[in-house]
Amino acid sequence: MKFKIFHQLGHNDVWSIQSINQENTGDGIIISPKNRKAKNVEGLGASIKAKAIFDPQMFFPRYIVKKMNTYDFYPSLMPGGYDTDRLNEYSPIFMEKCIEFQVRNNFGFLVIPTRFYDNLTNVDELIEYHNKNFVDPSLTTINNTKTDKEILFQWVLTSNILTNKDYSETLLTWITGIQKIGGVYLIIDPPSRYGQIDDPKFLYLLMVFVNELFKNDLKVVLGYLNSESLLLSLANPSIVSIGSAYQNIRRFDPKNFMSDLEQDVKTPTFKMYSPKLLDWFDFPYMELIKERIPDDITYWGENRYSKIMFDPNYQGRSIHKVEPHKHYFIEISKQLRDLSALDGERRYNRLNDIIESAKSGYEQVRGVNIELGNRDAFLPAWQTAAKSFASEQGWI
Amino acid sequence: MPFTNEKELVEIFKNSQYFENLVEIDGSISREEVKGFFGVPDLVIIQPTGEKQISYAFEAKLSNWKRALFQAFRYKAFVNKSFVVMDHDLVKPALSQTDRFCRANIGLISIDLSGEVHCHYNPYYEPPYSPQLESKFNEKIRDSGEQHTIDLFQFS
Repeated sequence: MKFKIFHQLGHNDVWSIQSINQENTGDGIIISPKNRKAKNVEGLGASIKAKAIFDPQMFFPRYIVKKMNTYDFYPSLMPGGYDTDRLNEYSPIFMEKCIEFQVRNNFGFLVIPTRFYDNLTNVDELIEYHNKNFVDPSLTTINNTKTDKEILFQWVLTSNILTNKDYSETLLTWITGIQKIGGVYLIIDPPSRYGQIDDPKFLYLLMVFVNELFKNDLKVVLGYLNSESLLLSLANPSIVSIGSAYQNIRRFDPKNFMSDLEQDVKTPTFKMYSPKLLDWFDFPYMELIKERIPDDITYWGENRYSKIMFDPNYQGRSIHKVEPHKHYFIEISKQLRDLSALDGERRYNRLNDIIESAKSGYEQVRGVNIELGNRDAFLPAWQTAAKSFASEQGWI
Repeated sequence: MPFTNEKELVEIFKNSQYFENLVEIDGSISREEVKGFFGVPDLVIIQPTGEKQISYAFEAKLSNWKRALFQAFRYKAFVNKSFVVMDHDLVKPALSQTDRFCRANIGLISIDLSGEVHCHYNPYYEPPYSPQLESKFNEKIRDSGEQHTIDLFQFS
């Protein structure tokens, strides 16, 4: 089954929209209210909104971050300030406002908001709480609005949940039993936020979870992804996300939705995505690899942005430059579309070729005496996870 | 007896004869924890030697030589010679991989609590691999006056 590519919007989201419109690097967008004011969301073109998912980002009812204060549906806006004990009373009001905002804007899908559950509270209590405060009031509003939009149930999948078999199975049973939803907007909370995800067990369990949803005729939207989108494509998602550049900054991090910790985020340095090495590299490494392996275009891809970035006269290398972002969109979308065109075993074989090519790339880089430390440690982890999943599917 | 922490290792290395020999040349500048380039070296030295200068970076680690090698390689973006400085009691695993240091042209030094320095691989002089970072580094180190910590985040 083919999957679509949606851009997970964030800082400078206009670059994503330009990239989709001008360079066909995506099929839709996932809108971030943290980064875009309500009036600017409403001002987006109808054709863009028709292919958009609005991410309510209601992960922490107590907090409002950045531009989220331009919306009227966050529980922290309850009179007298947020109070856990009064959430029951106010959640129908806020869910109604949130759903109405989505309906009014005619987005491609309607998303039932979720909050972020960090610890493994009693699963039955959690389901009851979530149904009461999020699912039921949202579905009631949707029923009343008579819309026929596809409904997405949103959930943040943590490592704790995934590695607890009973817990994750109970969640799967619950989610697949929710009437009227057409899919799940799944956000991945990775075990580590530094570098690539290199935990094969986490990745394998994640693929199994996604595939279970698929087998239950639910669309799966995978949000907040880095280049692991390539690997996760094996699990039959309907939509995978690509984020605006720089390795991990678009990755889901609960701290980014808690205002008092927002300032801890460290600004990354100028980096470029290597479609061969499947990761981001700082500028000095780009220059060095390019100098020592000059003739192999597969390392950096060939597009107008890579040419600009390697121009000796290119000035002002910083996160604020557009080129690394648009370069990433072009290169990762090429790789994803290549995989999307294939099914099952063929997709697995192609992914395995991509990983093998990356492994040989790292060897080649080491062969020209460039020390990269353990930067490639994620590749065997991806390969192990892919192989376990492929084996379970009977592809190998 | 091994060092208890990296700070202690850096302090003893700074007071070693080896380090003093590098900085005793007239016009030499040394700085600690130079931030904002491509990693944060524990110590850097710029040493004028006739017409050209030689720049050094040192990454101190009690153990974990792989991490140190990776970091020291990053510093070669802006210095001529980059070294890993390890606790002499814990240097054995790194010594079994000296060829990796040679291939990357990263120096390997160990030091004991008495301040005695053992040089296992002395790298040859190389131009830094990022000329842009090199010129920024030289400029900022020279401009940093008597400060021991400078902070440069962006480079262009």
